Amino acid sequence: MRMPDAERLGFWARYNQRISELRESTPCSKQSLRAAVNGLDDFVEANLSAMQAAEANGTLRQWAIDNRAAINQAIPQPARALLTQDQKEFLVKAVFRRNADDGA
Amino acid sequence: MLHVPPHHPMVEMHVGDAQRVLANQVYGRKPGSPLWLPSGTIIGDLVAISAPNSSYATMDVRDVASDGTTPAFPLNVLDFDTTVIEYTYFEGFLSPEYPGRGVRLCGQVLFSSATANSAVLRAAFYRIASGGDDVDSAPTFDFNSSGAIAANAASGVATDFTIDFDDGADMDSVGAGEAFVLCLQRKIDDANDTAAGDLELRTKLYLVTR
Repeated sequence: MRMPDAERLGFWARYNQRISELRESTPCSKQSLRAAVNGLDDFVEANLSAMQAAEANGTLRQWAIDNRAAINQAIPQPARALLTQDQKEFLVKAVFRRNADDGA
Repeated sequence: MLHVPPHHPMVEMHVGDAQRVLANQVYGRKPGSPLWLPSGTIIGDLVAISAPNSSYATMDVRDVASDGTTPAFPLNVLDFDTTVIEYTYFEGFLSPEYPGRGVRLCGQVLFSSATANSAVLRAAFYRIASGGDDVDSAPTFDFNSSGAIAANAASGVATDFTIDFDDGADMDSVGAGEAFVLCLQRKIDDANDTAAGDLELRTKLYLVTR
């Protein structure tokens, strides 16, 4: 299930704290990061069944590789261009984990 | 050369700043009148930090890298979150020589992560005068904002910022020689506050004449 707005806000806040603690450089604005979180949450919600099935089979990583282009498209610009591969990967995993843990 | 003492009405009305400085040096000042200080003179030192009971900016250190022979060393900073409003308070006093033209708060920031975009800080004075406000009563803060404080292409490159206050109510009527507390916060909802991650405020701030 899609995260409620308040939860998206909390997720976005924690992601900002994470990059601060790690001193992870980003030219992305906080507003663009918020849009990226929302875009990825929408993507995960739309593909949750397939992602959960892939995880159950131990093929989630391959699923993500196969759907790399679609995942990338789910992140609105300018964040799509400004986030690193690792940052995108972390966000996708974190959003998926949150949705999976929620039992959606 | 016309010998005119600095407290002569003609001097009071017509001489320029440089002449006033010279007059201060040569003649001393008129008793009871403020010393003339040019803009940018340090007239207040912010000497201590107190964290509020909640929503406080977090103490942190930003290490300056080792050059291989001398060790790394820390810069003390206060981290202001980008999504939640956080505060810190500096205690200080205005110099007895404060000339009454308002003050400019000067400081420096770094960013934890941002390598583009900007942040905004705002500050307000709370006067603590002998016989003045009761600290058990809630104060009213009148905040003034900085402009956009731009992040640099590397997050460890510092950016200076200033916040101006007019003399009088704009700075809670803090006068020469008086103590005050300065409340500082990051204005996270400002249109110019766009930087992701924490703003790191260096803990040394000072006040100069305007």
